[in-house]
Amino acid sequence: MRLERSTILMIALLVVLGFLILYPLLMLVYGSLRGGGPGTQSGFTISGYVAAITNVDNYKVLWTTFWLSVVRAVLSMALAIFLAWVVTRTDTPWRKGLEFLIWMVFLGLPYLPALISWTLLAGPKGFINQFLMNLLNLDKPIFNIYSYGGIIWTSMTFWASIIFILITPAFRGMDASLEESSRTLGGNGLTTLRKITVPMLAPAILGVTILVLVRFMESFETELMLGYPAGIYVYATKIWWLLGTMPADFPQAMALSIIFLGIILVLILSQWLLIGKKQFVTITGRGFATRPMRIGRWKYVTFGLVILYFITAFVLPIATMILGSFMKVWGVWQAQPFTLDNWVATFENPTVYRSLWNTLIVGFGSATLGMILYSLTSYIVVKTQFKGKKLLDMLTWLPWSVPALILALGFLWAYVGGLPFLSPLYGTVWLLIIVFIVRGFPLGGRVMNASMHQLGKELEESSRVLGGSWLFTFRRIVAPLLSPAFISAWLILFVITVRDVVTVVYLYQPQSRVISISLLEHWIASEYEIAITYGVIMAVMVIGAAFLGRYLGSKQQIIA
Amino acid sequence: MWNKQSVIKIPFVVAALLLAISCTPSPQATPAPSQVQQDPLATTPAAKLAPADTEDLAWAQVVSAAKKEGKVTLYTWGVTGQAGVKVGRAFKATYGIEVETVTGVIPTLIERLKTEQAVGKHVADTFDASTSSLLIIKDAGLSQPIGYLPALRQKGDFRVNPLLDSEGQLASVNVSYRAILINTNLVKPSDEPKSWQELTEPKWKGKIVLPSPVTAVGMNALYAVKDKFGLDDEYFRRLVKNDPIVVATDREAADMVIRGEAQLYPSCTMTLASPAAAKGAPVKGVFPPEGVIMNFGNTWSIIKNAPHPNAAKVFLNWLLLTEGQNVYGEASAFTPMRADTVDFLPGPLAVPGGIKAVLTDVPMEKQVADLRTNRTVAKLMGIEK
Repeated sequence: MRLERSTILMIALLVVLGFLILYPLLMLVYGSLRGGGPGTQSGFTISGYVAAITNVDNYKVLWTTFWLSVVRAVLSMALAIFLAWVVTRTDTPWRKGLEFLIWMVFLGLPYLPALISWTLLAGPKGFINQFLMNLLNLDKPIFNIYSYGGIIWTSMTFWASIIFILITPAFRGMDASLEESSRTLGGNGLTTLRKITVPMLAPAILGVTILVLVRFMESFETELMLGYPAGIYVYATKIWWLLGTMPADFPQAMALSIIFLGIILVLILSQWLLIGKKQFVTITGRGFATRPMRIGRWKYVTFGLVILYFITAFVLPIATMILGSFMKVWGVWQAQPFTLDNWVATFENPTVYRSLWNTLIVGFGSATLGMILYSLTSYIVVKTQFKGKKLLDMLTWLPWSVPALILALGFLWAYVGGLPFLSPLYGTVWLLIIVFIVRGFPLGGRVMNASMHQLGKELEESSRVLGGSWLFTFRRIVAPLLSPAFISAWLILFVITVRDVVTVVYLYQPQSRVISISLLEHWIASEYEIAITYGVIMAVMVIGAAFLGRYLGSKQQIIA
Repeated sequence: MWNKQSVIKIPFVVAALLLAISCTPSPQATPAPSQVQQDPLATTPAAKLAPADTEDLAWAQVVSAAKKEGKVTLYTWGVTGQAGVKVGRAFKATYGIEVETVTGVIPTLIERLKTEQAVGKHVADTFDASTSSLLIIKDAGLSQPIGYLPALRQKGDFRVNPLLDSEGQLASVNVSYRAILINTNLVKPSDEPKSWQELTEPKWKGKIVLPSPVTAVGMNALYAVKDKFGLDDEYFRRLVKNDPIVVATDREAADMVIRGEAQLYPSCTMTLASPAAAKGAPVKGVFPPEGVIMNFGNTWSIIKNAPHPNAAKVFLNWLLLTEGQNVYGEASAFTPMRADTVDFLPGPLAVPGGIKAVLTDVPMEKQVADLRTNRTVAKLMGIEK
């Protein structure tokens, strides 16, 4: 049997991905049967599993995690679809500006400081509550951010912006003639939305919904900050709690992580069965038009709603944050509350500049190398007949089957405590890049899969017929058409990498310190005001990257 | 000029450039030549008394070996942020040795240490955190005896013996007082609690924040001395009946009082609130007449197989000398272990004269009991896993 060169490449990719993704996960499974990592003295044991299964509280936690995730996924998707529809398919005024504002929600809010901002705004003593209590003469605060509602609110407003970024390329690339046919045949705006637009975009929407659902299942920071004080536990915070007990309960924590992995696997497999092989081609060989739909007077309402979203999701927390960076004690209004000391301290810190540099390297490196890998993988999965493609697709989902902190633990055990030839990577930016590439697979994979689905066959077929090879077709036809999705995904990955602290904290050393660690250092030292300055720096860095991308993109109308 | 092809290429080019640059070996940080030729020990009274002591001669060897090592890597909870910058700068100015820090939440640091030791990938020289965490490190066999440090020769120099254990593996650099922390905007002077007992009364219902005994040790300290304060076993259950907010860590509890989200935190380590208090936050320490708890504060160990063992010793020694105590104490606003240094706790949190301070942590057997105490307190409070 002769193997074509392309098949050999595909097998090589499968092997590489298998190693990158499965090795740390296998270390976690191994750890769960050993009651800990390489530093543990014990032998084979299933005591952790026994403890995990017999503890009734874990079922309660699982249920909470599940329903919280479903609610948040549905609400975030609905909000994001609304925003995407307004911006790409209606004639709402100033659509370009609105789109930019929604991007800002994602880019401009570093997560940890943003959550604290929310507690300062909507905690029982928060600004908003105080303001409303004074205005309406109440004696109890209306909002309490330390609640299910608080978790849902913050997740929804933040994730709507990411989902928006992920689905707008599909929305944009849809041929307007389909919608026009609907109008011609007598359908109004809403009917068209329901019967044409949404079904056509179903694969893109469904794919992102599952992605978001899985992500919420293993979500951590929000639930830690806002749920813990209220006694609300989800999977990731329960595991955290077990690891934080004195002394740590590794057996149960690891067992829970692996059980969770199993649950997510089941979830992913079931979505495969649901979506199946439906292809919804919207970018075809024919030319297409993207005329916005006229919605009459409603366009002012939609405009207002998007602005309202921007103000509540972004302006309020960012203002609190920036204000905080100039205060002596964040959230405390004393006689002379303001100071420049925090900013002075940051710029005088000798490690800041190296941190910034490392962050750029890790961010650019992981986003770029990652996107290349994700695109290649995606192409193979969607457009070829490679026998291992289902396996490949499954692999790309796995990194989100455990919470980020557990995956990081897996990497620690795998690269430091595992195969010896890997341990020189410990503490270097290279290991960080590898981890982020792995961690970005579910997102990068979904985005590129959805984009690949939308490409009609005739474009590639023309290329092959005219003599182009597989690689040539990929480079000159497929890649340029997918560039809007590519750039969006790149930017999302870059931002997520720059902000991540949970993963990095297990693996960095002084020479690979990044800006999120600098933030953490001041956080741990209770120097919250200085920590926020790093948050602002992160936001500026990321917004700068986005501006650059937007400027270059708009030069050729890649990003409208 | 700009077309789709070249736009896509930009991130690749930038990434390639950055990766290429990061591949070039970075210049080794060369320690600056020490400006101070004189060993600071020469100025301490101890050195003047016994100039030809063999231990001091051996120490001189340690110092020169440390300078050759050139750096020390701290896995640290205390020497981070601004305090880290100040401490590192001062130490380097005196000895020419670079201070590098790795931080994180305690479970993460401990797990990293365990994994590194298990595979022989030695990076950490020292580890510092709260006493309970250091107990875990010691039990796991990760620390080594500190050995001779000139600063420790005269135990009388210190408020309390800094060495916690008989094997000499754990040393504290400061003491902390655990008293009642209140928010002065919410609690009027006339309402301030007058005793530990009072906290279970209805007037404090819903106003108190407590750290969970399962994940934090704040309540352990109170339990350890409850007899001395005249509290019974039921006290903790009554405290829980008073609808407290329960948070995961001691720090979060302090933060809630600082921000006014809770009015009171019993048995709060004053150092947790001192950075904010120093900058004017409306907090105050209330010291009931029955007494307050005195703990060991930031505790240190030298890690087994440390790559820079001499630098580690010199650093730890310096932290216990007057210079180090002053620099670290001022940066972190704590009460240094040395008796001849100023207490850096800000006014509202300072221990008033005449208050009984009860030490919870000595002897060593009580330390180990500290971890088992968690479970006892958790049961008493009705907070289980």
